[in-house]
Amino acid sequence: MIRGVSARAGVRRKLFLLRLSLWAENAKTTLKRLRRNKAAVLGALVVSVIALSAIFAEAIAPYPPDEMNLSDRFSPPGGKYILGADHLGRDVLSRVLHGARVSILVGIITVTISVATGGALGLLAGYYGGWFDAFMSRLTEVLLAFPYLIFAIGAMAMLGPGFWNLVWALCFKGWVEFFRLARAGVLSEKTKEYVEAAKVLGRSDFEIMGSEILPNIVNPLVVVGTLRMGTMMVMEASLSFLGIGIPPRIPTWGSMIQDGYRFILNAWWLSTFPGLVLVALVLSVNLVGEGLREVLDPDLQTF
Amino acid sequence: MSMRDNVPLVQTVGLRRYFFSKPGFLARTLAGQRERTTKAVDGVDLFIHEGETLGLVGESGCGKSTLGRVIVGLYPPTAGQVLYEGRAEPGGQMIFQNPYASLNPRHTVRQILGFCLEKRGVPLEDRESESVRLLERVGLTALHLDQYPRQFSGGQRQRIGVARALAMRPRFIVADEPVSALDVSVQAQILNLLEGLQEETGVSFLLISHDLAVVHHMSHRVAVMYLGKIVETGRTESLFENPAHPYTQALLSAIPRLGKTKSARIRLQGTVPSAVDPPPGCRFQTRCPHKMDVCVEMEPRPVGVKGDPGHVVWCHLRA
Amino acid sequence: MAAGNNEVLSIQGLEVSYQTDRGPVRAVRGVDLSVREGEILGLVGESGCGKSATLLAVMGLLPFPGKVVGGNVRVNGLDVLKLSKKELRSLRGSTVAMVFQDPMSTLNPAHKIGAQMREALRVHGLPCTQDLLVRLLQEVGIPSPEAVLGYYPHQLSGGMQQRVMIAIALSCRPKLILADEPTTALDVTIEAQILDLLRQINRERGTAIALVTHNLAVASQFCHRIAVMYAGQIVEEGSVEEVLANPLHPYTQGLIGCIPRFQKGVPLTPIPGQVADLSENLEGCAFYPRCAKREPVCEKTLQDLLDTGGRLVRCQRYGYLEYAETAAAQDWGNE
Repeated sequence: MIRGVSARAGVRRKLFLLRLSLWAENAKTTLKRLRRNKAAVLGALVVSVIALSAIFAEAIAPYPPDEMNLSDRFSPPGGKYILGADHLGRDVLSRVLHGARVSILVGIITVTISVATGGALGLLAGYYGGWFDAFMSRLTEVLLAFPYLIFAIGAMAMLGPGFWNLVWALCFKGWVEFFRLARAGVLSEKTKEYVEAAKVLGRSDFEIMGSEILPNIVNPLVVVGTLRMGTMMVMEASLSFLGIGIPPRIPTWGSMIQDGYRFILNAWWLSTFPGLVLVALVLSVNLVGEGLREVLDPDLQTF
Repeated sequence: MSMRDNVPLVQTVGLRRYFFSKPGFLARTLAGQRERTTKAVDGVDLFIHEGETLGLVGESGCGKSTLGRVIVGLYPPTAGQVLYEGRAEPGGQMIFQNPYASLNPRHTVRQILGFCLEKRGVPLEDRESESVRLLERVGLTALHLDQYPRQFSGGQRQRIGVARALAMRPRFIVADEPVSALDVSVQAQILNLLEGLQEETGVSFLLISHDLAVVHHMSHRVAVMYLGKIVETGRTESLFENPAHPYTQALLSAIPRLGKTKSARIRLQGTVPSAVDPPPGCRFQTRCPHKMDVCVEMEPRPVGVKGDPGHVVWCHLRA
Repeated sequence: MAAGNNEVLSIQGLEVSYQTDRGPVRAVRGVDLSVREGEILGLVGESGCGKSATLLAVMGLLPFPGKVVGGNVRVNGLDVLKLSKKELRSLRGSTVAMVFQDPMSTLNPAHKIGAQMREALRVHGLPCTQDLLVRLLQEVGIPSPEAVLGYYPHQLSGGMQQRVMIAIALSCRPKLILADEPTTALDVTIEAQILDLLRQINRERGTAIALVTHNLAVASQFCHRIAVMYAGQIVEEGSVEEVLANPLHPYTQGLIGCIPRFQKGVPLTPIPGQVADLSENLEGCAFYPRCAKREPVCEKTLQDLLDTGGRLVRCQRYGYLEYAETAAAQDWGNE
């Protein structure tokens, strides 16, 4: 009996390792193809540099982000402050580094929540159809009728500023696109014969959705998810710029641009540097997303 | 012949499957579309004995594929019953037409077979050896276990499809156009494989095909389907040599036969009417060369062909 | 109508290559073929054997990565490969016409049948009166042609769509019809109708037809002469009766053995293995790995097409035999 159990555990471990190696092999070929795309490599490089400096902001930043030296107000770039100091005498470089945390976190968290909920709801609606599908489809159509930014402004006005409030405000509409993407994928996959074969075998609906259909529709979700990360970062910056996003004491690129644009003619560095990093990050994320699309989206593949 | 032989392994009783399409508000008001009922299968009584192959032939849109799917339980019947060993629960496995769509591109052969063995309750540690045994039975090897479907040719994929069906140790398999997507030389490989399996395990087949040569080669009995109904059924030899229904006659004379000189052909006029609005009376009356008044008024009842037990035809000419 | 002696189509040493990521795929590897006036020639083989590529190359219609890399093609004495695009187009509309497998993808779903026929006739420089259109549709056996002219393609069945395509093809009175699997998408009863129609056109007008098909049975019923292709080459050619009654090449023999013959108890003898991979450099006989009668010499040496008394075969088994011994060789092939 005990031997049987251990033998089973052994087989299980072996199978797990095998699956792992298959997965690793897939990831390896994906990376290999991705490497051929120079723009995507560059994008990934920029993203990782910004991400690393965000993670180690405390160690890298020359000053605490909110340390004010009123005597150094509007110090130009170079000298004591590499990227200059702002109207309160705070170091712009340190604030940009810390601000990266908010941007990246907002991008990752909102997209993860949106893909998960949108994907799951789309899977269910596409697979089962019926009243649930009809209801969800109408709901998404209504949501799509509002411009994203206006919608987020309204939500933030109700919820008030704050990191998680911002995340919810962005996710509130963010899932819609992934819902539609997943639903369309399911509709085209579920009529294929391999799904019928799984039904004949007696696999349950959840097994069919999770193990048969999901792996075949996940690629576009990943690609669009990556692309949307850039959108989410811009949204966060826009809301912070309008003063209704992240509370002012946390440095974000949006609020830095807002703070600095009043002085743009006298002290250009206040808004320019956070703006440039934002552009660089969003562009790089998009380059990675486009690269992934080329590799993962079978429609663009040659075989 | 024992008593058991008289109880068919699979039987359909008055089986119907309709598809209802209800157009949306806009389609109704702007495009003037109406609710439509497609009578894909419209009252079919069939039986298949153990170890037997029943060939189901008919032209595209006659409902033969739908019938096969209702029998394995993919679609619930609108009316009637499928009896499996006398009980009303679906059973049996299926082999599909398109070897490119019938295997999940994201699963390895090991996974594809593993899911089946899991359903059959084979313990984890035995699944690999059982998978290898299945692969070897269909002419593949253990080396193929961890490959993805895209790495196989059409014929090899169809072999994997057969192995998947076999994994459940079914007594009955619906084979829906199993070779029509394959090249001729590969077709013969798969047909021989299916025949060998039947000899070994006594599995029964419902072989759905538009290719009469394939059906003739493989089947013990044949049923001919037209617009959702069976029009003739009988032993293969008697049905092919002595077709009783005008549609069967036309079908048989239309097949191009290898090397045979052109025989006088019964030409059918027109094309198959729509299953949405089938003609009244006999379904075949719009194309039948022997149409009579009664054919429009009344649906034909099954009539046995004299001196040929089991040969039944639904035609007023024979009544 | 008996075949005349004038060659409507003559292909010599045709080579077609598809440029892919993994290097060139040699889809057609030196095909010689001719179709005479009033003749029906069948080009038979499995998928990927190069039969369709041969036909498309004749019309300059090879899809993108495909290119003619050698040989020459003459239609009615005209060197097709040297023609400009414009000249090719006018040739397509006058001497040669094509009928494809899927009429639905050839007909534009957004335009009525009448408009599409008129457009085709205009391109061919023909007068497009209503009477002519009606007559053309009548000739291909379409009932109530006046009504059909006002239909959209989806309102017609597959068989009727194919008839419309044939009507368009016939409008320019072509000398040659190239038909690429014209009945493969159709049901048997409809297939029979379409083949009857093509046969009737051939008989009444003397139009030569080159039919590409994977279905040996269709070819055997319909053609005067067939050429069997394997891996981009013709392996056997001859009159239908002779090739089917007495196939010489092991591949032809294998192909015939694969087809159920409506005789109970005759087992099928499949050809083992898979079709040759044309992206590889094939040195010897392409059929060697699957051949039941192979000999060591076949692996490295490629046999030319041999003329054995009006029949062509590409197999070394007939190479070292004198012409007079052909009969004996044929018996051997029948074992």
